[in-house]
Amino acid sequence: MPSDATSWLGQDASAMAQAVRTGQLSASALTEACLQHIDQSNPQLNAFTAVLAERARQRARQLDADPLLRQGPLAGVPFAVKNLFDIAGLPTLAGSRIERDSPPASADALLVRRLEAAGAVLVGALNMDEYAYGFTTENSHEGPCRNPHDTARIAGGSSGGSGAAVAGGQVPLSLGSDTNGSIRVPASLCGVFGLKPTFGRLPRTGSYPFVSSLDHLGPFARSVRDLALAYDLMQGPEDPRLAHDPGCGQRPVQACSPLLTQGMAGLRVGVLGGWFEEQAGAPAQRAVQQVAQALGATTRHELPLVEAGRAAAFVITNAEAASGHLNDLRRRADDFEPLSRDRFLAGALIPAAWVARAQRVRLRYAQAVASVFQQVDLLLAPATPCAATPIGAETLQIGERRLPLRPSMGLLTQPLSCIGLPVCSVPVWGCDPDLPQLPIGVQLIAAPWREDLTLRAAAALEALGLARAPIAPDFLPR
Amino acid sequence: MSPDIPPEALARYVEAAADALGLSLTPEQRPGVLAFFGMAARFAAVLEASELPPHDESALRFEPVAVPTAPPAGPSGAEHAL
Repeated sequence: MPSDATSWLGQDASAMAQAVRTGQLSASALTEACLQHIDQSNPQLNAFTAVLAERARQRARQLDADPLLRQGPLAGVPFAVKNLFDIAGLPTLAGSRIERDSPPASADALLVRRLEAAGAVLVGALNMDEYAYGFTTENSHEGPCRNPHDTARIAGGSSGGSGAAVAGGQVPLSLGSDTNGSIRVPASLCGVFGLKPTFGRLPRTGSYPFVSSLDHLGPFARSVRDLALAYDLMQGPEDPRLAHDPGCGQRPVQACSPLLTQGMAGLRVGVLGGWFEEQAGAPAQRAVQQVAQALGATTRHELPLVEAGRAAAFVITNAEAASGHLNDLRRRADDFEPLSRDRFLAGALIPAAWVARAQRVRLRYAQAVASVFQQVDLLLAPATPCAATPIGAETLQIGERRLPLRPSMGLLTQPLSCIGLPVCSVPVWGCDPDLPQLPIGVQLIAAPWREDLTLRAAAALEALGLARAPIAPDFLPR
Repeated sequence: MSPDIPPEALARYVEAAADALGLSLTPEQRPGVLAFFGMAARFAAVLEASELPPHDESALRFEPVAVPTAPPAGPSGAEHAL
């Protein structure tokens, strides 16, 4: 076991928490080591937009002084959140310049409070695409977030900072959001585990909305046990007497951590073909094949109405996202991110008839896909068409086709989040012979409310050594 | 309006709708806005082509709001009033 606090940063959150609970390590020492590593690495990664050193130190001192507090499941674990989560005392930027003028949040987001109640220590806020409308975190206001495995490449988005902070060893745990792929894309490109739960599973109270019809929140981690633990700790209904998320299902906790060792026994696993093969390059397809072989996948399935589902997600996203910013689009359009401003303006003009039809098609698509899950428990698909691309690249190649990069990174994720399916993205390595050091994520997809199956499969792949999330070699804490 | 919009009609709609909403499109913004609106129109055509019986419901569902009860007096454990 590590002998000093910096060395503990190389362990996962569960190991760190155990060390704090047993007195091997103080929360203060762990926090200080984390802050130092962030200070050293962030100039290269640009994952953090705010570091809350004094808040973190104060929280760590509280933990160290209180033996009861120090027994939490995430005791002393440093974590960070995408800067669309409310943090008390800070304006909630949501990646924008405009929100810098907003009053500070009066309270932490609910999921931040739940993790802190478990003993975790919030150390900062993370870079993202402006208002979550992107898949690359090339943020013109804050600068691009860089991929720890190759800092000339994107970290993905819109939760790029969340993926990079974990892959860069800055924190073992982070939170992001996913509307059309914004947890799964950075998880894929940064080589970490990411969970997009079922739509409505985790309450979004205290987070800046992008598309209320489609927004999910979820964790990133370097181990499946950490991912499951964070997810379990964030679950549960809200107090109905208080301000709460109207889109949340308010379901009781369905803990997944105790189920991780159940393995794959009795599970029917299939590979998604059709769209999910056509929109994936050869390396991404190889990643799926490796996972399919490891999990004993025996069937191939094509989702009905995929293109219609994706079209629905696009129209709903474009219209709803813009509607929330109409006044700012009128008064200060040039303060928006240049890469997404025109998309917002166009979205504001979308006819209501298109949006209404999109919501009807969405439900029909969801019903059609539910039938597929009568035949299979888990489906596999790539998370991104390719590995991380260079920062500033405008196009990507899929087979013979050259596509605009920024919208195309979400081709494989958007049809699944559209209907709220739970998905765990697991990192697979060495599938691209031209880029052997880079990961590509594979989506483990289950029926609604069956996050347990995605996490069981992820744990099985991790145990086999096929899915792993090492800290990027250039950013190992020293 | 049919989603199969000729480019000239699309441009007229964009200008008129932007004007009606109080959005002044600059020459710098206009090409991007037209391109993205055209993209949305192509997706709308896909939606239009999807068969939908008249009774198919929206994925959005309104839930009536219950009569509120008094909130708790102070912070309640880890979750407190925003």
